[in-house]
Amino acid sequence: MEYTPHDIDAAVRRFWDGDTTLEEETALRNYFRFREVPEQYADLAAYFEMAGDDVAAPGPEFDERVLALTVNKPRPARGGMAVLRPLFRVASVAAVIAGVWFGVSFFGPAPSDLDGPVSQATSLQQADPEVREAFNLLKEKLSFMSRKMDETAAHTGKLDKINTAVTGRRNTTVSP
Amino acid sequence: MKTILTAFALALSFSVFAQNAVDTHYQAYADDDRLSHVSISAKMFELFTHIEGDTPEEKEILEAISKLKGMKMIAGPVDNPQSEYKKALAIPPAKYEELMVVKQDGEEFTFKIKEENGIISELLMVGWTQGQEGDQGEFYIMSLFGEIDLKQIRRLAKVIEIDGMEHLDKIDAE
Repeated sequence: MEYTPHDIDAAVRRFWDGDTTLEEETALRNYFRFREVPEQYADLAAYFEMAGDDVAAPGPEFDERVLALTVNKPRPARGGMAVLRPLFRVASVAAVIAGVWFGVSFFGPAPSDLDGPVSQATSLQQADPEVREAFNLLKEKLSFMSRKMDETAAHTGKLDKINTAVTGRRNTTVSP
Repeated sequence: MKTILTAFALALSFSVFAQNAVDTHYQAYADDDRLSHVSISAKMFELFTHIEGDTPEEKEILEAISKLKGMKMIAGPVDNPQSEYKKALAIPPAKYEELMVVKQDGEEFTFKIKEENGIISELLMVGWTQGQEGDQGEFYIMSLFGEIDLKQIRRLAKVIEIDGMEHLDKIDAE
């Protein structure tokens, strides 16, 4: 088989498309080595010149060798722990998140602690101003009521009757 | 029919929420600007339970009010305080039991209690004082409700007085 300048263009296109046979490629190599080559095929001619005759196309043994290294090579089994390893990673992350959540919920402030301004025992000086004001008002009024109660009880001369009344007995009315 | 139902509902709601003599019988005085109105709600008393007293006086007061649910007071000058006082005494004769009465030096105070299941649930103080040098006399009605410990309430006067004297002593010392 031998190419002529007339059909070399079609043969080169088939070569670049990978459709050429070994016989056609040998004919192409002979064409570029021994004929005057058009300018547009200078690179291809250099390639065939460098490849030479001793560069044989890979034969069936090459295919078998490559297949033996890739397709037929036994792969390591991916059962058992190897399969579970990604799950362990997920589980460890979940455990860390659960641990943090438990720690915050157990040792952190209770939800009721965040509800009101005076939800924990606090001193009067640190209490909300509104609470302090109400306390002082109540103290003033209670003081008035208590003083009147004490004066009245003293006036009646029956101070112990109030203590008796606390027990809830019905007959504890004190009259002047 | 609708009017009757509405009136019944209003009466029912009033009876449910009116927990003390002041609320029940002194609604008419609510808008009287001459009088001093004091109302400390159950919510505020609940907040008081979260407070720790810094001084013996505060601790004593907090202990005394720990089971209270509210306080209402109306006080101030009125045209005829003695008449208001007598009207107040006539208000709830069936529910309130007279605890003690004192009449001296142009003033008169009566203490009444309301008992429920052996517990004093309300302490009512009604009083009037004579006006000095042309001033109007004053009328007082004050209600404490919740669970009342009379002994503790009465003791508060001495506790507060002692604390006040100690405070004065400190000022004098400075």
